[in-house]
Amino acid sequence: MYKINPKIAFFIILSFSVLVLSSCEDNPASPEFDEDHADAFGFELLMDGEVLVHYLFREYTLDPDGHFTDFVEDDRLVFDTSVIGGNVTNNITKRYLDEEGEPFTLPEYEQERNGLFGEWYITFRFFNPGTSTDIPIEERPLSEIYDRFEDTWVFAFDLSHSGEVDLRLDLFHIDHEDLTPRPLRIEVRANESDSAL
Amino acid sequence: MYQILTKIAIIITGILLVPVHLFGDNDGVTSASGTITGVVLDATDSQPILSAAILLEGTDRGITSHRDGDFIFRNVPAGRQIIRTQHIGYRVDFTAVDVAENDTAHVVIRLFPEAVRSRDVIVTDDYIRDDRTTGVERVLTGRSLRQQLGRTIAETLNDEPGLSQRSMGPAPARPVLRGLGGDRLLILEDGGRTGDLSATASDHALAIEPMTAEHIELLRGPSALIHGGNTMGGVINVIRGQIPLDWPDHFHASGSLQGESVNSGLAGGLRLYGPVTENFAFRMDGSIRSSQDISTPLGTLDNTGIETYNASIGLSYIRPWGIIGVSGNILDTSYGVPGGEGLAEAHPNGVNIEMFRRYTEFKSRFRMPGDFLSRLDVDATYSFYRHKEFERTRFSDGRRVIGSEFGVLTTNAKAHMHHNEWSAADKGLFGVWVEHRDYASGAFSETPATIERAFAAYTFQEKDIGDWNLQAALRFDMRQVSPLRERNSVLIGQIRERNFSGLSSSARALYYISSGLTLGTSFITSFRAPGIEELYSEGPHLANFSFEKGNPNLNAERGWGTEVFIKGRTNQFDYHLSFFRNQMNNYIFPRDEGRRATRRDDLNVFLFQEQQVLMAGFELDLRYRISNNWTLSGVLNYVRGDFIDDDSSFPFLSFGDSDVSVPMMPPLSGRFNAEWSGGNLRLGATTRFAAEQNRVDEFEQPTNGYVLFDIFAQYNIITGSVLHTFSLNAENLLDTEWRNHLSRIKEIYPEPGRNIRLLYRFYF
Repeated sequence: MYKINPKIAFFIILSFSVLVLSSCEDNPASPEFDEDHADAFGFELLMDGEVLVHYLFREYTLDPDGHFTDFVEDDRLVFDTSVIGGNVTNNITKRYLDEEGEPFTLPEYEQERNGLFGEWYITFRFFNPGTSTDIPIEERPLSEIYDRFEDTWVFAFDLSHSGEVDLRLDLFHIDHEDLTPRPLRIEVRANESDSAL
Repeated sequence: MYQILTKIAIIITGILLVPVHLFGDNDGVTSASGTITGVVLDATDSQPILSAAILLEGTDRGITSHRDGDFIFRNVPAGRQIIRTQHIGYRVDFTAVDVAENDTAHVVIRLFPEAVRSRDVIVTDDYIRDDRTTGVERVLTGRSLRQQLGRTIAETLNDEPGLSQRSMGPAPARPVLRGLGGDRLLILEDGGRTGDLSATASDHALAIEPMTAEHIELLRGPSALIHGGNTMGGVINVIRGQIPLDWPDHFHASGSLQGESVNSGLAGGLRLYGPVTENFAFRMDGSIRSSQDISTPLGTLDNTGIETYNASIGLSYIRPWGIIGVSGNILDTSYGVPGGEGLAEAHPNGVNIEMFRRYTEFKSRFRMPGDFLSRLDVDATYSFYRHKEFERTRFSDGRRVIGSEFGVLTTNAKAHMHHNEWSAADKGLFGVWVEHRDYASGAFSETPATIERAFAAYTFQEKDIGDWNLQAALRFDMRQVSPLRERNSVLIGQIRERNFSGLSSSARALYYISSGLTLGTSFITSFRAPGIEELYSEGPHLANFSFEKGNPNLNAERGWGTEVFIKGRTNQFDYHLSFFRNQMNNYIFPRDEGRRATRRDDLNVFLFQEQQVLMAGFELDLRYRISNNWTLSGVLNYVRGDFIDDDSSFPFLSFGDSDVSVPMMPPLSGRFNAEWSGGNLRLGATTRFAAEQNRVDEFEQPTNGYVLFDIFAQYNIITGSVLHTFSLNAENLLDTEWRNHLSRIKEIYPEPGRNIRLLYRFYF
């Protein structure tokens, strides 16, 4: 008749208990927090309720409905201060498109969820044309006027001087990018009569 | 809940495997055992040798000699035992000892200085041969380990025959053997899986700090198959010895301090090992590594610093019937992956990676009564692994942009039943292994959280027949890969549960033509289930410069490999020449599609795909002793990887006509070494070289050849009962610009420039 040796049994149970207890934990990269990614495959920029820029599956279509012929030239947006009528553009609204090209709505900012980041928001990156080199703030021909906490999907541009940029409008979800589109070429042309530029 | 139940089931299985003799009325010796005592002496002057490593072959037991050169092994199974002894500056010695039941065998081991040749040392017994029973093909330890000790395990092994290193900056590096990387070259720590993600991507570091390694083993062929069906490349086992398997009769300690100039790096470590009570032994170690950005001939490589903290503690209960031990360790490291214009548009300033692993291990060795079974090993491990990749310096308001995040919880258990002579085999083992793996990725990645369950059963058998040694292994693997949420993905297709199973096998034959000449051949068929990343990846992998797309329809990877080798030894020459040929019918790899991702325009798409490939080549390892003081040695490696058509390559080396190569194939490379040794001093010079590699995949860049010059010096001295060793290396003396073809950043960044490295170690 076999009997367990108490010392050995205790040591075995203790050893395995350490393994069991240490292994009963959640995965640190649990998908619960991040499973609601935005399934965005494109976006549209609207000005005065009309589509200024359409982007889907890495292809840009500028002024698809022919409402902004003054703002479009070849493959770029052109902001001429004489057209704008000042140094600040009208408000531009951004909306996202799913894989069918249909607009869908992302939830608005919920401050209680993450006060530092917000939930979804736009970031603006200004590159030297044809590169991925950031342009310093003071050298940019235009910069964004945007408050991601107040109005998540609306912004305007403040035009400062003539020049070209490649603008990338990234869609951020908390602390990471959910959509990183191709850069959009924008040219600012100064109206000679506008002394501010 | 299911996850927890599965883990409990694994552990209950382990408990049930505990041998019945543990539950007897006493815990005394239940099978014949004895004791070995001995002394290690210098063969030339009969002086005792301190801190010689003494290993009991066929087991994982090892101790070091004391000040008077003496040592003791208790509870050694009766019968013939082989003792392997090695020490700085001496040739490795094998001594056979006959152990009688309840008796003490005394042995005197005389080590010859390495430069002195004596045929008596080469073969002292018909049983003693270089390639016996353990299946360990190479061991890096002692002087060689100190000389080659690098920032990573891959760098430490880089000069070994057939090995190269995949890298992406200095920290994330992993060995590649004969062109086979990832989990085709399994890397273990104390025989257990590391639980990290280094096999899956170039930017993932291996969760083993080289400073903690006592020695490093390379296994190939049948003995490698014990550890995995996918080990066509082999197995690298880093022996840290966290759980003491022998009871030391007094405290041992060793410490290391390493500094290097190329990155203003400093690393230090301390290891303690000793008895707690009559039946308990402990071991603990800790190490810290800190280095700044690395210097290259073209300037400083930004964002390549490393910070690593590492600690472990182990405790074991040692009795005549066996050993039970537990250990735990933590590894906390952060390192940078460089960015750069033209390479990493998504993160031109680079990526910072934070990695943390907590590892718990249970290990047991039970001596078995009776004639058939000799020992039962039951091991279990659990690892908690977390890994985050942050884009560097993006926002000024403190926001950190996370690019990728991974968490992996891995539970393993295995049981090995070692047997004595049985049927046609002289000895061998039967084993089972189970694994539960909980994988999740965060940030943008839509790679689903997934549970993997795996099971394997295997056997390894060995037989000596006259001048032949035969080994064979057979293994059956099952793996279930279950995404927590099945769905149809626009990008990669139907994400669903996959089940894989298959056989793998290996055989090896050695023919001892004469006492110094051996001819050998081996054969392996491999089975490898695709990994979670290969099946379901769907998202950006920031530090890997890629948007990874998996393929849920991948099949299990199957391959077969052959090798023929000859090794010989004369008074002046040692040589080892191998030819190998490895073919995989559906080699799975990520291939650059040469286009940007739909939702991440700043990253190229890498698609996991499968193709038939052939990798073939050779290795040559030579050593020529000019005199008692001078030695020349050299290594030459070559492998070629080709995509081939079905059945077009058999029987041997019928490569296709295409210039397109399997990606990330190392070029022809090697090294020459000249060394002078006298007394406690050793001096040497090394030339490392590689040919250009212009056989590349479609979107892969070729690299130029290079020649590098190094010098080194080693000195050891004994004060009291303390052995001090100093290793000084001056690498890349001419500050030559060179590129590692297996580096993911080779297009824009060269490898390190001139470097002075000093390592001090003490042992007592």
